[in-house]
Amino acid sequence: MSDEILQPAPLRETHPAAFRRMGLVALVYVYRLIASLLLAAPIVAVGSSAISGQPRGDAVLWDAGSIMLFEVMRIGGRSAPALGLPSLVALALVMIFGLVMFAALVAGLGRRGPLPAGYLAERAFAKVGTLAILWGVGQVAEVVLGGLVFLLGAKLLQALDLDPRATDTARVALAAVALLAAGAGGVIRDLAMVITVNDDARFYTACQRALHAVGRAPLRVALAYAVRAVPTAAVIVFGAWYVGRRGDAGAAIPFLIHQAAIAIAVFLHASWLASAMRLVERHAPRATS
Amino acid sequence: MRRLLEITLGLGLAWAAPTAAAFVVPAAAPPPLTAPDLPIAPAAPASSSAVAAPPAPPAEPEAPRREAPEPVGEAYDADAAMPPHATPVVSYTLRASLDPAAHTLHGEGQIRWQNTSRTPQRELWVHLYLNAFKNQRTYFMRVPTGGFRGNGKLKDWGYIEVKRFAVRELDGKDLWATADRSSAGDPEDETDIRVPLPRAVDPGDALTVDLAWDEHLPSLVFRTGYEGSFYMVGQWFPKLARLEPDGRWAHFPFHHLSEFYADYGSYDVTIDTPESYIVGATGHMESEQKKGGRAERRFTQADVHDFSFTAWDRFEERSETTPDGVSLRCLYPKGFDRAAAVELDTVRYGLDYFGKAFGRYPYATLTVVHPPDEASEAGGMEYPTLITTGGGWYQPYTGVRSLDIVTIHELGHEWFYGLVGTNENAFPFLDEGINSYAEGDAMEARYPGSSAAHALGLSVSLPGAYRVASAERYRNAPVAQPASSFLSGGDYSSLIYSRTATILHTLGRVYGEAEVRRAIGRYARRYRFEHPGPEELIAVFREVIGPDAADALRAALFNQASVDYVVESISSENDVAPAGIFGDPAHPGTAPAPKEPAGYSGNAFVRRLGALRFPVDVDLIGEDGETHRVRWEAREGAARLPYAGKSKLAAVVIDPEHKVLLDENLLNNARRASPLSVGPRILDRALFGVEAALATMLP
Repeated sequence: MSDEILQPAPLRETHPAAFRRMGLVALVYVYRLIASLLLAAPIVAVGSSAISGQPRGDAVLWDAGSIMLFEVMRIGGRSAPALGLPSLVALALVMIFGLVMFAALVAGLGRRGPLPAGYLAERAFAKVGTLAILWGVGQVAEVVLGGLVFLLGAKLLQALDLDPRATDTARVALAAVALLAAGAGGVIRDLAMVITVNDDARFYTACQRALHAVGRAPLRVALAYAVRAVPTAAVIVFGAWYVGRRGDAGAAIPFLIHQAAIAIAVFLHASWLASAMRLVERHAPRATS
Repeated sequence: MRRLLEITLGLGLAWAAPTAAAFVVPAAAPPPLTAPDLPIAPAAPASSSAVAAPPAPPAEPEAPRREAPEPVGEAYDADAAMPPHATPVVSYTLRASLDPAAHTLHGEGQIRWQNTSRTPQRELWVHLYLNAFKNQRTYFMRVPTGGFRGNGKLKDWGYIEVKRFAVRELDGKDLWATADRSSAGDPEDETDIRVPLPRAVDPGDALTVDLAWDEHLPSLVFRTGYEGSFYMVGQWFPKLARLEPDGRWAHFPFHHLSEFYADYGSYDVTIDTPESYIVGATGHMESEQKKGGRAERRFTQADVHDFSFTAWDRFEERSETTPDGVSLRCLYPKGFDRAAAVELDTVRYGLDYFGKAFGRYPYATLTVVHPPDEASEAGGMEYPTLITTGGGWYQPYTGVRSLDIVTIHELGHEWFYGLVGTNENAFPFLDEGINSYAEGDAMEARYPGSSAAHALGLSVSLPGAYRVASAERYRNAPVAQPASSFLSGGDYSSLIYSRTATILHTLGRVYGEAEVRRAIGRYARRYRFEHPGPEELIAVFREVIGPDAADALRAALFNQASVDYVVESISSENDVAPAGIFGDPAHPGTAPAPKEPAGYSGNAFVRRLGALRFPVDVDLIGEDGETHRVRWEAREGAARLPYAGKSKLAAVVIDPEHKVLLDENLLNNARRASPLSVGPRILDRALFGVEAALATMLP
């Protein structure tokens, strides 16, 4: 597809913010919901089929003892191999369109005023190739960073000859540090992806500017990410905890709580992307490329 | 095209990176070890693909047909009828000197043995089980039965060499020179040795054997050996095989899946180690003497059939005494204080529970050993008055009750194997299976519905977990067969532990938990300090519960019998006047009046597949929610159960309370007139799980 803009581009937004594009955020949430339904469909189908004859429906799965739950898993699990390849294909499609949705979100956050659908569509597909590589390289960077930290730390622990409890506690701390290191890779990747879409940049330029922004304001970048990532993790954990604590907590209220948690997570992610745009504009503007 | 390539490359990198991390990171930080010998999750089956058939186990002499057991009687429902002591057949007075630097042990002492059989004996059989670890050609090492436990690689071989075996009553002659060099029929194995006697020993006569030996302990790959400075020393001395009353020796080489069998007697063992070592052993410590940097500790115990000990210079220790006066001692690694507290608490509970159910624990001591993580293979094992547990320090905090389970399982072995001395080689289910049932029963009494775990919003019961662990495996082999007849460690653990437990739990749920407990309790009290077999167990079930239960037990244990209840179809219709011509066609009469009050009539077509039969409840549920529960004796393989109600028949459920845990497939136990298309909870949880995962994976 040509990189030419087919329609007059809306004006650049000087203060990107997620709350200014709630419609777009809602669209991303709807996409995630549909994608998740697609991926969860096989599990739901197998599980629902297994309990289709039960007068209490799937409530039996949460009875004390978990006898029916394990029975459904045992017998339903027989179809798992057959679902492998279709699920992988579905996951690949979800990931590709996830990139498209990401690009559309960033494109919308970075402009003010009405957003023509044609503009959004053009921006969404224009850089999807570069975004895919940035995303893949970003994943590798996360694994490498986190893995290096963990491996080096594990070597050090071995040399210390601690007792098992101290060793395990140290390993948990080490895993947390490794996660932070991996997170740093993810942050740089997000910055580069935002630059790619917003400023129509190529791979190398986007990486350069992202590293420049982090180099000039590491604490600001880290804080901007953390104030959104931590609440995101908290709401998702709360969603899981709420149902876990209640055992068979029914379906309606848990569904509402779960979807509210996901919607908040989507909003916070959009908020982070908007913040990333502001950080890049301030600390690594286009003139630095 | 370029964009397509970019997308493919990006996707490939994104997928490859986490996959690579999944392999690399765990290698750097091996996952915490889990308690071994947990019978819930069967080990992976043996990976023998194109392997030559294992050597046939040396055949034990054909057992003469046993007479039907005598009735036991109600007297054995109480402890008063139990024998206070065992009839001592073989007793050991030993001294063991451990050299931790060389990992060797020098032993000497005496064996006092009496011919309690009905026939003169011209030979003794001695088990030298440490020789199983001597080289790769021993029976233990070359039989390709993987899985279960003990799958690590030996770093250091183990062996035992008898230096002296002199019988005082036979002129003090050292008979070892004339003993067989190897196990019967197996020149490559040295674990099962025949010692011919120069003359017959008549029934009632006794022999005193002066004994000396040296051994090198193996690295710890199968219960016994060392890891660093930790020692778990079991099957460590020349041990006489059991002599059956009919004069047969129950001797067998050491097979990977087999455990042990011996006569009762007393043990007086002095253990000499460096002074810094803490020693835990069978029995009560009578004395301790320290001299020259070494410590000699003397342990004694009567009425047992084995002796083991542990030694480590880094044990922490806790002691307490139960209200019944049993001295408890827990030895554990540093940092495991909470685990030790859980284990002692579980032991206190178990001693009380099992004591009431199966007869009072008769010994004065119980030692609980929690091995260090690197020696976890020593864990999950039982010896008279000494048990080993295992598992991570964090397990009490997880909601998974594996620490409680392994502790109560090993404690239960004090009854099943310890006090009821069954042949663990010929019928391993008699101790492991009954004990797994006892463990599940005790844990369910303490934590109803969550005896295995209470975590992440789920309550998992042990009986339910056993059911899953043994599902479908019954087709592979019968439960009631010798350990060496199992070709797969996975089959062994699933059938011996989980299937047996599921059989007994099913009988309990169908015929009454108290009844099954009473049956096993009567069996345990009657055969305390004896060596019963399966017939004795089945006879007691027949006596206490009835012929149906006993027949089901026999069929399930010996004949791979199974059961599957199925709701084939359900139907109902309005009670209206029937259509058709009634009476003389030329002058038809009126149809019979419909039932009053008018409602719905129908039936549920149900089946029982398989050879096992248990009576079950069947719920017939109307659309108005009214439930009619009927009892189906299931004597026939299929039946139509009638329904009459105010509304249409909406659903039928066979065995709604899951009493028949042996039921092969619980999903066909229920049927609705209008099947559900989507489970709302399944949809919600699955959807949320995927959404949460995508939140971390998607850009």
